[in-house]
Amino acid sequence: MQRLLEIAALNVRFATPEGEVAAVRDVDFGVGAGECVGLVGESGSGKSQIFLAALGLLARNGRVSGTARFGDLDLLTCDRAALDRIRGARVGMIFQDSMTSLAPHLKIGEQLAEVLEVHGGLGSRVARSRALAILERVHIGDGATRLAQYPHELSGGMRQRVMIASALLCDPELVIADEPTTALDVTIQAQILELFRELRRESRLSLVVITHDIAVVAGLCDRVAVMYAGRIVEEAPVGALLRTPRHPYTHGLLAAVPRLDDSTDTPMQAVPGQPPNPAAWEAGCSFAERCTRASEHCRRERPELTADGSGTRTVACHHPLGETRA
Amino acid sequence: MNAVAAVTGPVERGLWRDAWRTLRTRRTALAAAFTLLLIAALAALGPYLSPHRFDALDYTHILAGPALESGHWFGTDDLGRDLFVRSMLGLRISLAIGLIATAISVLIGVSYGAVAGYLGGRVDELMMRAVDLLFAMPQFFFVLLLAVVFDQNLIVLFVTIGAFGWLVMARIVRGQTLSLMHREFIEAAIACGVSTPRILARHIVPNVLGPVIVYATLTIPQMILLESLLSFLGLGVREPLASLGGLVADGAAHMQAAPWMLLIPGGFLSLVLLAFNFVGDGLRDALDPRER
Repeated sequence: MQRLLEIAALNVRFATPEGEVAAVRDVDFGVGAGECVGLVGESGSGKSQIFLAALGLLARNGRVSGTARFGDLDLLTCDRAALDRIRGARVGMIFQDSMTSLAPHLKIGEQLAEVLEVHGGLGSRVARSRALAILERVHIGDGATRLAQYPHELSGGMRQRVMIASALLCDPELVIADEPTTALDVTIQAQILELFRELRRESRLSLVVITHDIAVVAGLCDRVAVMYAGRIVEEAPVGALLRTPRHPYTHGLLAAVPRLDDSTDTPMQAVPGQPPNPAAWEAGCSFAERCTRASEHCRRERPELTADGSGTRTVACHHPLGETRA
Repeated sequence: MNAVAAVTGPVERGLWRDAWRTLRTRRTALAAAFTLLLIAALAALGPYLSPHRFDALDYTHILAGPALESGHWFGTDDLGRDLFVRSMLGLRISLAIGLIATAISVLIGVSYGAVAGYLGGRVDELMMRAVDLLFAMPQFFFVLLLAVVFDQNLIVLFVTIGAFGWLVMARIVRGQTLSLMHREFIEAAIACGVSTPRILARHIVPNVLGPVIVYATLTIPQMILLESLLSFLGLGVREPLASLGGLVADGAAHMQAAPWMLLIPGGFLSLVLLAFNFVGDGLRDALDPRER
């Protein structure tokens, strides 16, 4: 099956004064055309680094190996000019903090026009009408006024819509949204998620949503991958993952989401312990130290990501939950 | 109806608008800027008002004091040349040196610093060590040497003085660029496929402009002073042309017989230097983000 983006055996390491730190380890990840995939994990699990690496945005001390095929091009080995033709045009990126990700000294119209000038070589009049159309598409009213405003004159939700608009300007095949709703309050979050759903309905947009909020994934994605300590530990269709998590970490994550109908006396269900120090990841399952099901086997040998009988989901665990045979 | 819309319309804000608002409250800076404009206008137009030429010798008025009836409003020097016209000429040349040399130093300093900061790593290391090396050299001797070698050519003078002013500018711009690189909007621009030269021109340089303007304004008086020092030593602009420094040197020689020869160009020099420093201070209050 030819997928739009196929990441294979991706490793990301950072050279730090304390030695080399592995942020992403042996990750295989693919996005099909028109598919929406969620990537869930806690801070530092390496979920953002996968795509920063694929788009050549790693910090200076980062080293990457593996492949990231987009069409017939390997994003990790192609030259800067080829990468520039893809970034912004065929792959759009939406960042978390719209306040710092929009250039403070340029008007909205200028920022949007920049993308069009770089990729389309459009004249200013065409660029302007295109920018107005895209603002309308993300439901920003009074576009002409907005184009003449600076980012700090817009509200947070509005800025995030502008970010989304700029990612969509060149009709990309793939949009990567890195924590698109984290900096927003819940009502705006809901609006932005609704916007994403609408955009997906309107076009065959492929979408990767990177988030630590499993609720975001639940309402938006087709498929979810859960990351822990630099590896994908479970990947499944979203419904199946939410109903019957196989990996104990996924189970813990889901159990930790507080519910409105919980009694106030019920203690929060947190996953005990801390994620391992990425500089000292050792053999065995990296979740073993925090896992209630861990055995001696888990600490000695790292479980590989393996498909289960249905063929639609994979899990990396020696003792997965809900195993009928066990 | 329209009046209401005008009142309730959106209040425009921005770096430059905020800066202007701050600057407006700095009375000394405004007064200094006004003084500079006045002096510049005087230097540009003054010589046309006088009946005398800057290199014409008037044997009937040698070392004559300031007087209205002879047309020598600021008096004459030891060769009978009109000091008013010569002072205006000196102002022109000193201001030109200050502005051109500063423009050269800004041009080199900003591009050098931005490139070093943006590329980073080994390139940055190499480029900044080169700056350190140049810093360690006795710059004034080089300027002296070049002035002698190139026979006090005016253009060479502009360039050599400017070529030594960019070192600090490069450091400032590099530092600012480094801190900008960590800002996400630069990353976002890269993620949008914007090329390196374009990011430098469109995103880095406009954001370092504040400190650059401040430092440039403070560089102008340094450049003027450096040239005056050269002229005072007789290695600056050549006779019969004169800069303020050269006039001061002439004046110092006749300090007792004709004090106006020292006081008038010296006064203009001090006024210009002070005014530029006040304007620079005002701009720093208005533009430098660290002062906020």
